[in-house]
Amino acid sequence: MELLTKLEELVLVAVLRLGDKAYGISVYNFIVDLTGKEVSVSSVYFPLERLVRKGFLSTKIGEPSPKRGGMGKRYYKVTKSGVKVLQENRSLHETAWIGVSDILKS
Amino acid sequence: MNGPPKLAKFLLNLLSSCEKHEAYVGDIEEVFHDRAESRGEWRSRWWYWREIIKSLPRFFRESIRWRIAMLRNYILIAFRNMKRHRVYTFINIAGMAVSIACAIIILLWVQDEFSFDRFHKNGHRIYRIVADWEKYNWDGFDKVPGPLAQVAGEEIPSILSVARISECSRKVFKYENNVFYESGGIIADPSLFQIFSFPLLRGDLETSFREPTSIVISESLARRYFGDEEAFGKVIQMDGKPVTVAGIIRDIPPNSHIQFDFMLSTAAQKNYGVNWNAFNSMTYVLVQAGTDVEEIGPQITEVAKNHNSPHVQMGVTLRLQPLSRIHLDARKSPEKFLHLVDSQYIYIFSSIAFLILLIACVNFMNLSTARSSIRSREVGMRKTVGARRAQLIRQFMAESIILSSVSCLISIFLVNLLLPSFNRISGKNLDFFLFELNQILGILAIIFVVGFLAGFYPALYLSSLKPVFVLKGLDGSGRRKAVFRKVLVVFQFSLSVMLIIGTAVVHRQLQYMRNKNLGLEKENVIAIPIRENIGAQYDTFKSELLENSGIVQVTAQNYLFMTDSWHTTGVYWEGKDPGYTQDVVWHAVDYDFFETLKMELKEGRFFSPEYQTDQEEAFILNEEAVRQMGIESPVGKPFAFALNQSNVKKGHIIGILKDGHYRSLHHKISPHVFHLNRDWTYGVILIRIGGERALSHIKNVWEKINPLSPFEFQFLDQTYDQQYKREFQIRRVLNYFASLAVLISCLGLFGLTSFMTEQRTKEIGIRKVLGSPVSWIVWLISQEFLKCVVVANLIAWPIAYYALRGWLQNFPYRTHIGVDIFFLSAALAFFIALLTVSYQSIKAATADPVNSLRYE
Repeated sequence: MELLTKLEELVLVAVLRLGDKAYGISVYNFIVDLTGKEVSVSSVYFPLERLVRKGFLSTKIGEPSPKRGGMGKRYYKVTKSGVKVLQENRSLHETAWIGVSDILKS
Repeated sequence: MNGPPKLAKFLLNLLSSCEKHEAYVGDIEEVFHDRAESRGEWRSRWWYWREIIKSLPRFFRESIRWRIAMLRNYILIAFRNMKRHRVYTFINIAGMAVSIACAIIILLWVQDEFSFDRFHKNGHRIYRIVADWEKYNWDGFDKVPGPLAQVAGEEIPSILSVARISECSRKVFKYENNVFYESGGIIADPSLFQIFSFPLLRGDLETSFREPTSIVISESLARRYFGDEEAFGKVIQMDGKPVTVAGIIRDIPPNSHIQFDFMLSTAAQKNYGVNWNAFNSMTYVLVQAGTDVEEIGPQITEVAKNHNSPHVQMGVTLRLQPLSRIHLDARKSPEKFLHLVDSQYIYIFSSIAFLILLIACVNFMNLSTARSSIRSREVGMRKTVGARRAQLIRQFMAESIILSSVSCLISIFLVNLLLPSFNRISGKNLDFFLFELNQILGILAIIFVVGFLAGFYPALYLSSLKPVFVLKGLDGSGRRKAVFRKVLVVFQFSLSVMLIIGTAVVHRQLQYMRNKNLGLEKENVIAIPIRENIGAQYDTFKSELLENSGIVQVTAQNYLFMTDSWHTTGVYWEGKDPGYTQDVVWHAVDYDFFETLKMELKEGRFFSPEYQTDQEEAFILNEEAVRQMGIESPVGKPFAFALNQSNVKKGHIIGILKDGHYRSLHHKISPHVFHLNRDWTYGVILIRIGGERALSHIKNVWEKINPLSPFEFQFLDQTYDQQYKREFQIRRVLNYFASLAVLISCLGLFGLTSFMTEQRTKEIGIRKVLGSPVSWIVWLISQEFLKCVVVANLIAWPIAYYALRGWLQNFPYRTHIGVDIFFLSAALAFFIALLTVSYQSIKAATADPVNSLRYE
């Protein structure tokens, strides 16, 4: 099983939730909205590309637009192994957190 | 609405270059527009900039990591290649190591020469007064009349201090049992120590020179006589007279152009520097900071004119020469205390060292491009998997820099090995430590310059190969590359031939000078200085010497004519134009002078004891003097000679000498005047001997008459040869250079032929099978290169001719550059090239074709 970093996990969740609209900026906006922290745009590319390299994401070049200075978008999609690794990580979390909420309350 | 900041976008494009680049640039631009709408354009621009700057650290980290990874790969491949092709690696490294060693040594030498006189605190304010006189081709004559120093110092406010230096004759020093000749002396003004930074360890500028019998000596001289005793204040015998050590200086550093061991004050010399007629004081001045030096020259000239300097009134002008120029301003026969070098030779040798470096680089270029077919597959592969041209260029440059670094390491060993012999030839004391910053920087510079020079062409060429061709096995290079390689071979051999011709011409000029008929016989003549008792008892000395049958003739002169010349303008003859100045070299000689040296008479007679009047009124001139003075049928004509107003000698010309060379052939034949002298207190005794046996007799007589100082002599022919010391040095250095150039070129040629024959093994095999004789195949391979050598000769000849004609202009009497030299050096180059090529070509031609044609 592959352990994901927090950022990788968030990015992977973002791509999953954004569906067809998942590209650099939408992922970035998603993370900014979620965390409330204004990170730099380039900081989401590194986890994205790492996930692509590991085979958890696939990419597709999209249509260019004048607003983007004539450059195309790079869309991301979660692969099967991406879904699997996300599930594994989630169950890992839940297992790890069993009983912890009680301790935190007291 | 505007786009993002142009410069920032440009930077972004420059930095990001991966395949996702487009999407990223697009993304960031999209955000830029969103922000511009929601928060205003300026803030958005600011944000755009910040984004880029924030990403920089990571960018550099990543790219350097990849570069290092690639570099490691390049180095690995380079070493693999070097290992696999040992012969070529050896040729490249050997050639480069030798030539780099050569360059390092020359650079050390040049550095040493340029380091002269840098240690003086006031260095940039020190100048020497030199004289120009267009009429007699004086260009910066290094000495001026003695009285000038004082008046210039007094009357020109911007001159702070003046010091004169003159040569001091050899002295015998005696302290207890230590008796030695000391030749490193000067006569100078004490202000010398104010101008130059020669620290006085003991003694004081004010008091040290008050007594006329005081002397300043160097530390090492003090140690020689006094050992560990305190030398200061001691009395030492100099030429039999007591002098007091009134000052001790630190030893003069080797990189000072003024060198001396002891110094006598000018004040102690009788009549030192009172004569406006004699240009015999080297005069240094210290000027005020911020003075316009150009203006001082005319001021000095004006002062000299006002003090009735006869020469200045006749047209001599004076100017200041900066200290930094003096060491490089070599004169034909400088004073013994000067340490000078001819800048011409610095330039010649540096350029030769550079050319040899170039020859080694050409070897690398040639071998790498010739062997491109071996590397072409690698280039093809790298290109297909996505290497860009810049990367390939970087790879091959890295390879050549690796090679030059390895060569450099080897050359450092070579330098350490060779430096002692170089020091012996050059009389220098160079060191190579590698711990000095500038030496390390120099080595790094050499590594990169050589690596770049050798590597840039192969890198450009190899990286230009088209993967489509090379991977199919086609050779994309074609004829053009072969032609370029030939051009390089021609270039190498032209340089080698030029150096061979240069060596031959220098050798021939040297032979010419040594064997030229000088108009006197210098063999079997010895010269001994007149010292202490010898002068007074000269006649006894002479007659006792002549008792021995081994001694042919004995005579005396006021100075050794071969190393010095004393000039005067005090000559008068019938019909002389009063406004005309005639400069002559004058000699006071004893009877038998001309007979001892076997000089030839043109007309008249020599001095003879049979004529009572000879002592008072006889003169002998040489042909040149008669020619310059324009005297018709000179023998018997009245003539007068005056060293100063009170000492005039009037008489007649009794004989005319045939022109001869009394000094080295660097000097033109000057007008000479001889008169008879019977009264000796200084000068030299010249003795013609029959054989070596006579020497012990002379020694015995010397010791009987003069036990005060040791017997010493020099052979005149050796003295003569010593004047060509510089040319001998040049010949030796050139010999080494020429051999190196030829050797390195041949190494390259050897590599090239061995590769060519390898390439053509099949062709040769087929030719042999079809019945071609061995000799034809050898010719087939050799002729390509031999053609190159012929062309190289044709190029080298005119260049060498012009360069050497320029060099020979240094000599008023010179050999001709004969056609034979050109043909001989061509033959030599041809023979060496043939030898180099034939080994490989014969090997290929005699190989069994079965072996080369077996696989198909």
